[in-house]
Amino acid sequence: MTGAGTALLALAALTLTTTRVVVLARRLRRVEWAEHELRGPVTALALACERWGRAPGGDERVEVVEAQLERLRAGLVDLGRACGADPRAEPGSPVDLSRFAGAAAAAWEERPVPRAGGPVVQADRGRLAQVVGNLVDNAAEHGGGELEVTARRTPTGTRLELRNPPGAAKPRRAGRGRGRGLGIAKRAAQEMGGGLDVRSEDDAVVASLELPDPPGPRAA
Amino acid sequence: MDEHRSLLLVEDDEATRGFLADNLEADGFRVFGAAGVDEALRAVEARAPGMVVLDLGLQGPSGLELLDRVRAADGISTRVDPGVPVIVLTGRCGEADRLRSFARGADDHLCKPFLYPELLARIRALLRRAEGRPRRGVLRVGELSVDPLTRAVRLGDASIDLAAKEFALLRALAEDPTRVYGKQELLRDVWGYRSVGATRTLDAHACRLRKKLRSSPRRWVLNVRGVGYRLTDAP
Repeated sequence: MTGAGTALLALAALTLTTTRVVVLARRLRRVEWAEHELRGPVTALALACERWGRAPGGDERVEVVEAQLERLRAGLVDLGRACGADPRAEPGSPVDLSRFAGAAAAAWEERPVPRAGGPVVQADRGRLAQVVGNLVDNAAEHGGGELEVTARRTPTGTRLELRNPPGAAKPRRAGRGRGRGLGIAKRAAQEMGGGLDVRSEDDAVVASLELPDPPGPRAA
Repeated sequence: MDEHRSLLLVEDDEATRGFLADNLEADGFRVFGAAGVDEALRAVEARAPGMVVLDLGLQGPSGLELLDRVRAADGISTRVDPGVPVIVLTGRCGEADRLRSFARGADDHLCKPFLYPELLARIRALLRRAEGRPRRGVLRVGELSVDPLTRAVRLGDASIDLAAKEFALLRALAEDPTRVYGKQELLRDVWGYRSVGATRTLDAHACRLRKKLRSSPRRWVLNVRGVGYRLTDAP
């Protein structure tokens, strides 16, 4: 190839790269706008839930909406990270695991929110909502009957188990094709310092979220 | 209600402002709202809030402009208290945004969407730290207000006429209403005495001031025997 030909090829490659960078920058700017536009309404809705939750007698449906808002909040943190925001993990707060997971599941199927009194963990509620939300989404899409949600202490931490009754579809591999939700749930579990395992058990699909105890003396 | 529990909420989104005000009022704060910078600046002057909760993304001038104008106030030619604590709420959550807020004078920065209990905890912590700071602008203690700029004193709805030194004594005591000020300290700061001999000046002024404020059920200008004076008892 002549020197002129090489130079022409290099110029074409440079033009192509520049065009791609410009297109990507535009997309990123749109992501930034979308992220910014979502923050206001999510803030207003969360404050509305806080307000409605103060009503005498309370309304468990507020908790169901709050669990969805937590998931939305976690999604916004991820969008912010895509735009270069601080990648530090959110600090945790005490969460009644059974009640929170029950509230997240209740958005998808008619079921009462469990009473408070289950194991309490220190966790990022947004990430927890992502795990439960994605597992419940999957179960609702492919599962059979009503999802069983249980939480219990283990020797090293706390386990949340979601069991799809027999007849449910097999778990799909995380991070491939349409199994994106499972991948997000696994990553959210890791971000909380825990792990997520999904397996088949007697025709049921069982997802176990393990959350280790923080260092120091164990809470009662 | 204590003036330190009053908040100015600057937020142009009506839904957010309304719900946030509802929650803060339910938690015992007196909340004033403003949708823009000019309205907020007028409220800072007129209401003398104990704290400002400020959204940055306002329509029109940005919340940072309000921050600049508050921090630039001298507390003498206007009634704006330049030291009023400000907590910023914003949808801009990058490191540069946080640093910009603090560089412009914010005391705290919270990213939207925030958890309401976290905002509440931060507001309480900031108010706790701000307690006892020397205040400028209009001083409010219960139903008593002292305006250093116009030298106007009001007790509830009634205007109180004070002589120059009575006003100066009241202003000094109102800076920290429950603190006991020593007699020597007051004679030095209010009268400019360098050395204090036997004088009844302070006691005479304190007595007259007390009489002028006696229409209130609260006791004012309290004598702490052998030490000095404090404006009032803690609630």
